[in-house]
Amino acid sequence: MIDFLKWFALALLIGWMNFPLTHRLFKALPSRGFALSRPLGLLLWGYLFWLLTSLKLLNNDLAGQLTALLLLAALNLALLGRGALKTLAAWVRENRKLILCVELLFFFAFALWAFVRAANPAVLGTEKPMEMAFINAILRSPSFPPNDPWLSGYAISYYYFGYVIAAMLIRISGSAAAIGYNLVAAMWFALTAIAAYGLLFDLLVARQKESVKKPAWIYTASLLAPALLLIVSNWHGFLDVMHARGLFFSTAVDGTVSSTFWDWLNLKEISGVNPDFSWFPLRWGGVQWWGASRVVQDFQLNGNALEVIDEFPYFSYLLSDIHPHVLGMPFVLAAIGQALNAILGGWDGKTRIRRWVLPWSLPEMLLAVLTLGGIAFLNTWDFPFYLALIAAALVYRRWLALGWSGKRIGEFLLLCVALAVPAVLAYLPFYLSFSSQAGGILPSLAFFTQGKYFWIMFGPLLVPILLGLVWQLLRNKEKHGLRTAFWITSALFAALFAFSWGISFVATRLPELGQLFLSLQGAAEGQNPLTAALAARLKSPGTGITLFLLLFLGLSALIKPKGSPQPEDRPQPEQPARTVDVFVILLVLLGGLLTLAPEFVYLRDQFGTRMNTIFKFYFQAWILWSAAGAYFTARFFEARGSAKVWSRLIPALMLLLGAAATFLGLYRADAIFARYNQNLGAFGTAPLDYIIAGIFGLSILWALVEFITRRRAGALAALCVCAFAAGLVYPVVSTWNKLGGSASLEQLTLDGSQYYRDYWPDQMRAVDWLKQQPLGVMVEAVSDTGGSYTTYASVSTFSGMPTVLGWIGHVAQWRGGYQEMGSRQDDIRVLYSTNNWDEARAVLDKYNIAYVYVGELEARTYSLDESKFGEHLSLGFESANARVYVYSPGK
Amino acid sequence: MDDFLGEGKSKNWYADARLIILAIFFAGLCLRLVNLGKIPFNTAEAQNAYAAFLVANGLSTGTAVSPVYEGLSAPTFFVLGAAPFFARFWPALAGASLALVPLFWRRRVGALQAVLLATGLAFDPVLFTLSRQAGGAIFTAVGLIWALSFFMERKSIGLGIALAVAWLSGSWFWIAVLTCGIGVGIYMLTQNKAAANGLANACPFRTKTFREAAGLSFIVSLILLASAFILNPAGLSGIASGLAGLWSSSQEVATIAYILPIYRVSAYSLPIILFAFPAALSAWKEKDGRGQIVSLVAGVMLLSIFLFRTQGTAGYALLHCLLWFLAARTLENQILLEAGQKDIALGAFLLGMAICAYLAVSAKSLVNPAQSALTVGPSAIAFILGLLLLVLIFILIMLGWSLQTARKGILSAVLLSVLAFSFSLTFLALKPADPYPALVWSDSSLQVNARAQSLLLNEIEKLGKMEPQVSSVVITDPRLAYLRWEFLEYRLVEVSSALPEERAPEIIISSTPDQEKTAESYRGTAIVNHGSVNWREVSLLDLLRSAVSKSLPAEANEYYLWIRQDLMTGAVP
Repeated sequence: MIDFLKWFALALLIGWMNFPLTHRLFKALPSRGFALSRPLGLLLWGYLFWLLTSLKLLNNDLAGQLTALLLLAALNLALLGRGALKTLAAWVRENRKLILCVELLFFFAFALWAFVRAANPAVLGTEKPMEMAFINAILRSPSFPPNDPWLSGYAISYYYFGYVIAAMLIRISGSAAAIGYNLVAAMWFALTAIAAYGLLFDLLVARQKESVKKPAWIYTASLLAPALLLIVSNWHGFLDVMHARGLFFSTAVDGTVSSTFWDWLNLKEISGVNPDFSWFPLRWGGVQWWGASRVVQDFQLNGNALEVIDEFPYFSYLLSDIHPHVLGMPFVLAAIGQALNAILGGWDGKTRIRRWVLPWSLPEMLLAVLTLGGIAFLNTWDFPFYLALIAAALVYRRWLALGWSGKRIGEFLLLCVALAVPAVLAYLPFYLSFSSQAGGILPSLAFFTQGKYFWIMFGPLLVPILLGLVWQLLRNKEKHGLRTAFWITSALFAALFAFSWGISFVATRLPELGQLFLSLQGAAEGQNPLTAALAARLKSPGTGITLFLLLFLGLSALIKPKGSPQPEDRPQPEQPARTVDVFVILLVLLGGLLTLAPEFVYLRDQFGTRMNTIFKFYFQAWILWSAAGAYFTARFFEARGSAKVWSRLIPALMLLLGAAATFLGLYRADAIFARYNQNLGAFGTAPLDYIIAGIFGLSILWALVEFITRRRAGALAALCVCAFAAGLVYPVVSTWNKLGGSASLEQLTLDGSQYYRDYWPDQMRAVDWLKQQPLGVMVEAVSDTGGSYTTYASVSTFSGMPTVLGWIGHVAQWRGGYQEMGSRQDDIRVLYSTNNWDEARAVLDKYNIAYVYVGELEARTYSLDESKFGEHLSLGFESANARVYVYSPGK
Repeated sequence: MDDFLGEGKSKNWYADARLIILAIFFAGLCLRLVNLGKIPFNTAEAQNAYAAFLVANGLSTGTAVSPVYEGLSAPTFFVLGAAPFFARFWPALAGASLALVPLFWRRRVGALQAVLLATGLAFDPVLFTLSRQAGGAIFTAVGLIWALSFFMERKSIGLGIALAVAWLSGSWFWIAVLTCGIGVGIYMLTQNKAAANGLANACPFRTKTFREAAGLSFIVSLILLASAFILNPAGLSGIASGLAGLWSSSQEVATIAYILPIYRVSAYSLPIILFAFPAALSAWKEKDGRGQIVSLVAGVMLLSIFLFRTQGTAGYALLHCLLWFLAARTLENQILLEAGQKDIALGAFLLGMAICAYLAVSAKSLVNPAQSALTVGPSAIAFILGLLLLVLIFILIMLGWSLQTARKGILSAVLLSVLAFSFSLTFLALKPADPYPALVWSDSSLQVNARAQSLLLNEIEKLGKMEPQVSSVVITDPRLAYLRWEFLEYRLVEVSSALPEERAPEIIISSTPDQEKTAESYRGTAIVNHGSVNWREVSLLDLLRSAVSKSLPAEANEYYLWIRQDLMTGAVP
């Protein structure tokens, strides 16, 4: 609890300390960047500390961190001239409501996720140990770049900026690293929530005339953004529950159940499995929550399925691997905020560099450079997307000022370079020590997302976006450039197709590469992969059609038709509402491009498949589309006019039924877990059946009533709510499943190492001892099969001491191969197994090992000969099942 | 600020006061340099000095606890070599420089008060002792007092430098800022708005040129000092080391007993508080703004010393500086007091001195260690009678002649006696053999027998078998790491629980009497080298005795010095 309060106070301090800066730089945003001051404060603080430590001007310790914080405070103080303080104070007084909403949202989001983590805190499984290892390695390293925890003698080769910020918060708060891990997850959840809230608030308020007081509904409506981003999930959970309940199944005469629908849907873990006839999906092994991240499947030409990851924010937070894509979330929202500020004129000004005069203000540009560079350092994949968004926003301003011409495209490219180069230079020390695993691009060919998977994945967002685009198109009196948009979209598809098929054609003609490529595609002997892949795509055109429609509608809204009263090649009048709409369309288009690109090409990495590309691109698309979807939904509610009785009553009833369903469902779920076999019978036999049916029935009723009473916007809003409701099934069901039911609520703790202390207490006592020792290289067992996702390398993970070799697979990924690892795995085996002291000493000297850990894993993994350690080394730590020997080479 | 300006005395006084203050400064400096390197180091001093040594030799070290100390000492070691004298040189110089501050104040407070203030700041036992410790304790007071002086004199560059010195002195800078803020805040609350505005309007920071010059000199000084004049660029972390120290200690359990600050204040600060109190009272009576602020800040500072007792001893130095500002006024009033009958006053003074001497002697026997408890015995009766006699004489003179005569005579004697007692503590700090002042003013253990160890090692070096430049030392217990300071000239000094495999070190230092597992044999010697007082265990009676007798019951800890056998016997390894 104390740790939670300390972190909350820290976040408050950083946010308010940095507010003078955001107030000054986000002048076009109605919120003046208040919700973004926290993430930007963390980014700037982290940047200052990281840069100065990397340049050996600061030590990686508390004093160094506080020095960087003082520098940030000094910067904000310098901005707080006398006049600025009064302006700031006046703004705070006028915007108390917004401030209160943001602070309350932050508190509740932080508390909520801290609670969820406290019920399931273990830093165990998937890649949590890797992230814990990074954090502890950063905390222990005397300077930057930090030590690689799992390959001694090397620096981390990964985008570790997020872990630096996490380590800084852990150190300054005095929390144990294992507690800090879970608080990081909770805090990032809260930072993302407020950033999304602030973004939608700005979009909605910026549309209003300046003289108009902010309508009260905007404060509530803005909650749609964090809800859609962080809580609403894909439809997998909804389908999972439908499947479990036995919908769309038919029973044959012989009693076998089958379903054409589920077979066609072909969802992993669901299709091909008999229903449980229970509301709560059961799984062998008990893990239900995982499936939603494996909706999309790639199929080789021979029908083999390949794994593709399609995480979305709720899943990622539930999994709680604080991976770069999670750590980057608040900062990409900050970048979106800066793009919005740019498009609304917040960057307008003049900067003179030698003989060039840039039409933008320097401080805003600098902030964008630091943010974009930070995003690249947090999660490199995200960098080009938000660079493009900011550049597009700036070019739109140019369009407004000067009219459209081909020059705007040149300016767009120039802006990208002008922002990218300094962004890279600002973070140069990172690039000097980083080796990427990416190795070019490959054509997707056989790998494409089938329409059904695309809609299951993005349905809750596509519904409001497509409805919004159509609605906008129909509402506007001015006709849009439909024809031009059509041709542009078609040309885009054609170009991508030509590019992808062109590369594939060339690849198949190359002797060695051709064979590899064909085997990757699963092409049979004599089969033409190009035509086979095209045929497969034509059989499942859903994604292509959806994206075509989306891009076409989006471009139509942007482009004006020929002969319009205000030609595009002339300066355009500034209309805030139109500008906001354009910005949202940019978000939609960018998301569209992100989901379109992997249909044709993907980045080559160690896996060789689309797995990582889909993972990273779809995640960013979710962020962009959730903002757009929330905006359109809010617009629908705004446009429907004053609320009628039924338009309040029906949603209220839906909410009530939803709460009842949640309670009953979870209550039943607990009972189900206790008594594994729970057969409710066919649909319509359990009370919950009627409640669930009632919810969806009411939503359809609502839509119909709105439509009949000519409140079309209201009908659209109802449809959106229906889509969201289907996306809310997953959070409820999966959270309960992940936490393990109500039993998890009895022992709440944020300590991620508690599980280890309960099951391997001696090992953790050794870890505690190592934490007090001077930094040195340690050695522990390495699994024969690599050790990834297991408890191997736990001692290094929690102590922060670099080990000779950790998880082999991950080390190979980071390094782009096995070269740096050399013979470490074999040498470690020799060290533990040999009875020849000279051989063992040679290994100790080769890797400069100071601490030799001997525990249960070492005894299990090797034919352990511990006697040589006892004879020649000092025993630093001893307990029943763990010992640490200390070695000093005496060079 | 006009009400802060005092009225100057005659031109002669002005000229003489400057020379007198300079002479006091030199005397204070010389006194500080006497036996500077011979007083035993405590473990904190050894750690600070060793860290500066590492910086001077281009080796990495963590962020300094007191960056200004490291920033000044490291370049000195770089140029002149590391030695105990140089390790304490800068604190001594800084502490002595306090005596020059009244040069800036003489126009405001008058020449006499300036001289008295200079004397107090030069010879005050707390300021004296703390300025002979290898650490940053004295720099907080020095930096802040100089900064205040430059601020009053509108010297922007000096202000910047002094502020940087104070900022980098350690966590007490932040405590002092908080304390001063509270003190000034209370003062502002007691004043009317016009007075408060007047104070704010007179602030030189309102001028842009002043702000810029002060800011620039502050930043440049900060960078130069924190980086030890670029010897240690990573030392810039030291800019926030004070804050970091305060931050981390707020999350730890206090390890300093309450009784220690109480003892220090009782034994060292009580006399000066007695001097300062009348001045504080009259400042409030006469609505003297300067005196009011100083007294408020001193009061809050006293409280801070107890609350932040784990943060070191710098607070005491600050407290004494503030108290001397007030005490100098009391002393000046006493000296300038016109007695109606000078002969009677002189007689009363001499009599008072005699009685005070008698009281001093009887106080010593009152706390005779032979007595197990304070009892009302002959010593106590003698003491009380002495006090009564003094009071009686005061009353008689007051009734017989005048109150002024009684005050001039008796009070002068009392004040002078108390002053003599106080300054006797200063001279006590000069003796290396007497550990009392070092024990009182160390928060860590005292190495009372470092010299014995040095002598032993010198003897072995004379045998010709061990040359420090090629010898290595291994310290097996991290708690003894501070001993690295004693082996500066050795080739390699490691702190490691494991002994090197390839070559046995010449010297091993351990905390246990068992020889470490080695191929070679070693001969061990127990070094009783720690002196520390267990403040939680010492009784109040013992503390009272010690305050009078100037000796504290110190506990000795020992460690073991192992020397390789062949170096002592001449055998080939």
